[in-house]
Amino acid sequence: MKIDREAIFAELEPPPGGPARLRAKLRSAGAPPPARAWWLGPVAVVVIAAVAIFAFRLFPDSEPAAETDSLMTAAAFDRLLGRDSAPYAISVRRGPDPVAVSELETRDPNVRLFHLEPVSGADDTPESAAP
Amino acid sequence: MADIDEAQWIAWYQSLEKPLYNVAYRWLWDAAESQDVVQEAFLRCWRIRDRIEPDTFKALIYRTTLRLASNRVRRRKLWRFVSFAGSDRDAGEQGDDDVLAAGALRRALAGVAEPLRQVLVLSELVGLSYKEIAEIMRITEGTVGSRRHRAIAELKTRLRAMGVRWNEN
Repeated sequence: MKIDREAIFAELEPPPGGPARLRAKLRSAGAPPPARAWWLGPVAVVVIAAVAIFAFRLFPDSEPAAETDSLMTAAAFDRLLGRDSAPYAISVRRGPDPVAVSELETRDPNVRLFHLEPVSGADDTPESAAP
Repeated sequence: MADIDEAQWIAWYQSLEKPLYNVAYRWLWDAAESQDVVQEAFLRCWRIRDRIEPDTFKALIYRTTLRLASNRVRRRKLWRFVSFAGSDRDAGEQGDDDVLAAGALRRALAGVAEPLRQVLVLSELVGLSYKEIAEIMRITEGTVGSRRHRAIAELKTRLRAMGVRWNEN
């Protein structure tokens, strides 16, 4: 079987109607794009606002959590739960006057002893002493 | 080319449709799809016409057509829709030997590496000069010459393996 060089690269005629089809394509390409849904913007704003309001109502602030933390670390809870007390600072007043507090050493770790001494030295009996 | 109008664009299409169609056809072997590729190339260039320099338009449209045709072939392979019916159908009015030769030619051309085939089709089919092909493919004229030589040699070898003898006359 033989094949001529001319046959290999014979020029073919394109299908008719090419220019008309291209013209139609150019015109559809030049047409403005279809209108976008105008209502999408306002709807999106309303949805975002609703989610924000819901979130603020669900979590108004963080104070309750802070209060819970404070309560859980209170000395009363330590005693209730049988935990070792943290070395809280002791402040004592006798009426309006402050009382000097100094902790004494003990051999029992569960016992804490304090020496109280009025700063202005009027009375020897403390009005209150709370750990 | 910002001032180019539709009528001028269609006139350019008419002057370049045939050679571009013939190039695309040697990739796709389908008349309707080849014409569609040429039109797609013109459509894409139309969208960026304000950035196209008139001197580079011809190279750009050839490059775009080649790329689009090549992409379609890859897509076909990807979807396993390769069909050899087109060439035989188009050659249906020829004799039996011609039909066989056309099928063999198509398979042989398809087997030639794409960069070589591009040069072969542009030089032998469209009749572009080495300089024009170099501009289209962004390679040197020397590379165009060597690729053309290798493409013809490879095509002859492949045809011979299929029992088809290349007749130079």
